[in-house]
Amino acid sequence: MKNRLKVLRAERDWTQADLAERLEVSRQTVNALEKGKYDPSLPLAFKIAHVFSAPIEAIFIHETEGR
Amino acid sequence: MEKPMINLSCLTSGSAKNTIRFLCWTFAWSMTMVLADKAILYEWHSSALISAIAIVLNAGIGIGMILSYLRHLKYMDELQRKIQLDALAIAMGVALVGSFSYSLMVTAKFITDAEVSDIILLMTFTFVVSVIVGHIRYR
Repeated sequence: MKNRLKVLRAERDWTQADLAERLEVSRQTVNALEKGKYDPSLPLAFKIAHVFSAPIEAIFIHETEGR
Repeated sequence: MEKPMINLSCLTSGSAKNTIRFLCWTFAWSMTMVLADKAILYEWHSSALISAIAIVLNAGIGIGMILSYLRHLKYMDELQRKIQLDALAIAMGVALVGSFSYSLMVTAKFITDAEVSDIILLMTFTFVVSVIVGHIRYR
């Protein structure tokens, strides 16, 4: 699953640590999410959507949909 | 830039405190285990009551260690928990397969001096290595 986390974070001029603080996760988790190494749980995905004030489908793109 | 709603410093210090607490419990459990084992093995005392107290104390500290590990897990985020879960699964699998292979080797007399602690050491080593590999993988 791809995501636009890095772009959205850059638009707000946030560091990975800033985003981690907002999401109440470690910076390692934000990094793993951005690199696509880890897919978040549904509650975390909703939290991310809330932090960026965007719908989940605008942040996360399923690989088959993206093609 | 808007201010974060939740201050993570509490979470981080809480997590660090729980990690230290868990390590202290583990150390206490290991020490009481070694002391109880050596005291019984080398007959430092002749009282069965003291041996029983040492065993109960060790088991009690062991329960404290388990509870502190659960608390330690509670303070982790979902990726950290996944790393722990993967490591526990690998350690458990290695211990299961390893103990049966070890048992077969004892039956076949390839090993004469079998110790349960060998399996525990293997399990601990596998768990620690798996946690490190997990952290490197999601770095």
